[in-house]
Parts: sequence; structure tokens; C-alpha cells
Amino acid sequence: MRLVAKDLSFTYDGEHYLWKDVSLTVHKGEIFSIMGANGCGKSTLIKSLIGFLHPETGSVFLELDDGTVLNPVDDAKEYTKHIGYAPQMQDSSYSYTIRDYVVMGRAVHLGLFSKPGKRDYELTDEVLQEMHLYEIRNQSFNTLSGGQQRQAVIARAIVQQPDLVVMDEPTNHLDYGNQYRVIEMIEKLAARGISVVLTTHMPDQAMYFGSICGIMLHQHLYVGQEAVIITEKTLRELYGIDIKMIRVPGVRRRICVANPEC
Amino acid sequence: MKRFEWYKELTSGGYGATLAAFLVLLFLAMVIGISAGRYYIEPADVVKILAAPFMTLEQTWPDQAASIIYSLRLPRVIAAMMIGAALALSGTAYQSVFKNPLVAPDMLGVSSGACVGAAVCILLGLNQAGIQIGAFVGGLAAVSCAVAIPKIIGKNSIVMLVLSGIIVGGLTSSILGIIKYLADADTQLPAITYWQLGSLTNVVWDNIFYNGIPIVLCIVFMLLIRWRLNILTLSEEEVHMLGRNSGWLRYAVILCATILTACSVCISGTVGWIGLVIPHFSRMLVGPDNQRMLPLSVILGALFLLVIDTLSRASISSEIPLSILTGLVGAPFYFYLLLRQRLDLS
Repeated sequence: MRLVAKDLSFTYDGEHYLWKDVSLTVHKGEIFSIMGANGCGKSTLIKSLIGFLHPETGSVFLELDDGTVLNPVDDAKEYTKHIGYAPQMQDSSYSYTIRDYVVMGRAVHLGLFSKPGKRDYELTDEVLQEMHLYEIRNQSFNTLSGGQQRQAVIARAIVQQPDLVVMDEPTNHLDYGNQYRVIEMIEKLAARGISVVLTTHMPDQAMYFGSICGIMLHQHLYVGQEAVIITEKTLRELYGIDIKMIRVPGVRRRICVANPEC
Repeated sequence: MKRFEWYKELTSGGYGATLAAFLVLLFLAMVIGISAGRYYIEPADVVKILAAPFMTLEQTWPDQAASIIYSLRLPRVIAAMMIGAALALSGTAYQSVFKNPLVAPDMLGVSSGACVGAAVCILLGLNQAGIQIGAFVGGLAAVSCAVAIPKIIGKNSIVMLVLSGIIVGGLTSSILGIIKYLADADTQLPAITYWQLGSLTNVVWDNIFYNGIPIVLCIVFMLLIRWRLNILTLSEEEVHMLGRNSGWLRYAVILCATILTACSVCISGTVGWIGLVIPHFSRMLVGPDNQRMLPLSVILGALFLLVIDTLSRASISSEIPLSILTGLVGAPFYFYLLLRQRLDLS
């Protein structure tokens, strides 16, 4: 499976482009991190990739292992079935229990008049157990901690059994430990062959994954291997502050340190 | 105050028992509703008279009792249950598609919109089908306005939709005022006023039949898609991703809810509070999962209006309009529910 976006340009008003000529390819089991300043259009890109928004130009398609090509407009029903989506954190108006919330991921496999059956619930319980949510399965979503809510959202995407999971700022609002718990989970997904596209405000996370990433800058998405495109210079341009990259003995990746006084 | 959420431990057996218990209550209320009134009929006789067409029973009741039941009491009890169920379900449906636990047919102005549509058709002297269509068009116009206003302002929030419902409600009640002003003070005015407050006094089989068919069809449809309704309560993007591209489903649900309200209005006039209170009460009992709460909403709605209508007939010698009683019971009860739930509207 691979997700391909070619020459996408997006505009809300037909005059001003949010971003132009964005191209990217996400291969099977790959983690693709997207970085960019606030308001640069990361979420809009995410929503274009899942087919919720339609860019002015260019095309998005999903190529399955058997060679079938799906595009989000003509094959919307099939397209969305293969893509799990974890939106930014938000409270629901209705406080479903974790189990009822997570089982909704099965909706893409069920007909209009069907409801989840025994097997759907078994699968849901398996995922809940794996993610240490089974004990609290009867608690309501809105009473959970931020970390647990995030896990539940990801659990719902996994229950869907997708080929690709798209996450909008999966570590937003999480404490330091929970951020890395979610990151571990993302790595597990990738190890199982599920591709992940995510947005993040933390360059350290992209460097942790050590895979491909995209930096949205000057209305363009610069794509490349993390080691190549994340540099002190690009980060300085991206965030407008001085940032130093260092290597810590015993840690196998680079980390970055903000140095705003300079 | 502690959140009232014992439903979380409710097993499917416990849920079935809850549903069965309310069905038994509904049956009892039905028997009492048929026996109560100026001409009292023994509950035992009521059961026998109802069973008589299906089995051979020795007649122990006066012929008059059977004739009262079949021509007056039974249509009335059936109408009360049908309308209660329809309004409760309509509220549940609106609350789901608008992702907003504060809306209901009366809150969105749908009831009064349907009322205006029907009243205009009555003034024009149209027949039953015309009035039905008029009520539906009025209701649909009201809900369309209520949805359009937040879009025009460009601010889509829970409070905004409620405010826009208030705008639509204000408009429709003014239009209804004009209609009342124009109506004949001796014949049409009392009828319209009484109808505006809700009443089942003039229910006949014909009326039940014509409005009952769409109501039953909509109830069946909603019951069939009730699990999908959960998906519709999520954010727009999630509906797109999990909804299998069924964007039309949302409109079908809105249409269904509007038909349910409009047909209820055609039988009984406007009856307030049921569409708001009953869904909240069912959610408190069995949780927000529509798969569980929707069937309970239907039963509770039927039970609630049946009890209210029986009270309105039996309490004092002249009948009390339904909306007065649903308001007297519904408003304080809603306060109690809010207190128990500590509804979070942020």
C-alpha cells in the first residue's frame, strides 16, 4: 500500500493559496511526520489527505497491495475504509463509554442497518486490552485523562483495521510521559505494517522516529529524510528562534534545544 | 453532587429488564388510561373487551363500555402513545444530528413551524392531506431556518443553534398571532388556541390512520439505523471517515424527525417538552449509546404522554390542554435531570 499526493494546492477563497505544489508519498509501514508553524495549514493538509477537504489542484490516491487505486472523491466509501483517522483532541457532546466509543471504528465495515456484532466487540476488547484500556472500558470518554482519551482515539483507529492511520497532533496537550507512550504506540503500528501520517510541533519527535518528514515553510512542503532536512537553519526559519542541535552521549539521535535569547 | 451514572455497569440483561419493566408499565398505563374517564370501566373489563376480538369470551360487560372503548378511549390512548413516542424520538434524532443535547422539536421552532403550516391550511379550508403537508412544510422551513442562521453568522456552536431556535420560535409565534388575529373569534379562534396548547379531545380513527403510517415508518427507520446515529454525533471529519460516505443519512434523519413532529402536530397540536426531557431521561437511565437509549426513548415518550393525557381527562371535570401539563411536569423534571447530570456544555 502507498498513499500518494501529487502537486496539491489549497485555497479557501480562490485567490490566496494556503500551500502550493505539495507532493508526498507514504509507503507501507512508514511514519511520515509533518511540521510547520501555527496556522500554516497542517490540519488542512491532513484533511485533504483523508478526502474531507478538496484541494484546488493536484490529486491524492491510495494504491493498495493488490494494485487497486482508490481516490477520495470517486471511491470515497472504499477510500475511507482503509484510512483510520485520529482527530485533534476534543470533548464529545455525548459521553460514550470507552468501549462504545472505540467500537465505532468498526462502522466502516458494517452496513447501514447493521450494528456491531459479537466479533466486532471481541476485536474491540482485544485492542482495549492491548492498550491497557480494558479495565476502564465502562468509564465515559469525557471523564478520562488527556492521555487516556488520546489512547482511546487511537484505539478506535486501530479497531478499524486500516492500512494507514492519519493523526492530527497526536501528542498535543499530553504530559511528557504520555507523549512518549503515544509515540511508542505509533512505532508499534508502523512495525505491524500500518503507515502513519502525523503532524507535530516537536522536532524531537520527528527525529525520534528517524524516518521521512515534511516541513511546511513558505507555503510549500519540503519532504525528505529527517536526518537530511531537519537542520538548525530550517528550524530557525520555521519557528523564528535560534535552535541548536546536539548529540547526547548514550542517545542515538539528535535533539534540539531552543536558544531564544540570541 | 455526584454524577448519576449507574448505567455504566448495566449489562445487556439488565438493559433488557429495564426495557421490559417500562413495557409492562406502558401496558398498565394503557389499561388505566382506557378505564379512566367520566364513564368508568373496570380495568378487568377493559382487558376482556380488548381481548374479545381475538378469543371467545363470555360477555360480562355492558355493550356501551365496548362502544366507548372502540370509538373514544382506544383511539385516544393510541394517539397519546404514538405522539409521545414520535416526539421523544424526534428530539433524540435532532440531538444526535446537531451534536447538541439542548435541541428538541420545540426548541428549534419545528413544532410551532408545523403549527403555523397547519393553521394556514385550516384557514384556507384544505383537507386532511393538505393540512398534513402544510404542517410538514412549515416544520421543514423552521428547521432549515434554525440551521441556516448559525451558518450565516459563521459561528456554529451549541449555544448559537439554541439562540437561532429562539429566533425561529419567536417568528413563528408572531405569525401564529397574526393567524389568530385574522381568525373568526367565535369559531376558529378557540379551536386554534386550544390546538396550540395541544389536545387529543377530537381524535378520530381516520386522523390516527393517516398520520400514524408516516409516524410508524419513521420510527422503524430510526430504530434500524440507531447505532449509526452514534457516528453522526461525532465531528464532521469523523462522520466523513467512519460514515462510509453516507452524508445523505444526516438529511434523512432530519427529514424523519421533522415528519414525526409534523404528523404529531396534525393529530394533537403542539405538545411541548417531551422531545427535550425524554431523551435526557433515557440517557440518564441507560447511557448515551443510541443503540440502547433510542428504544427506551420511544417507550418512555409513549408512557409519558399517555399518563399526561389520562391526567388531563381524569383530574378535573373539564380537560386541561396537554402542553400545560407537560410543561408543569416537564420543566421541573428537566431541572432535576440537569442537576443530576451536571450537563457539561462547554
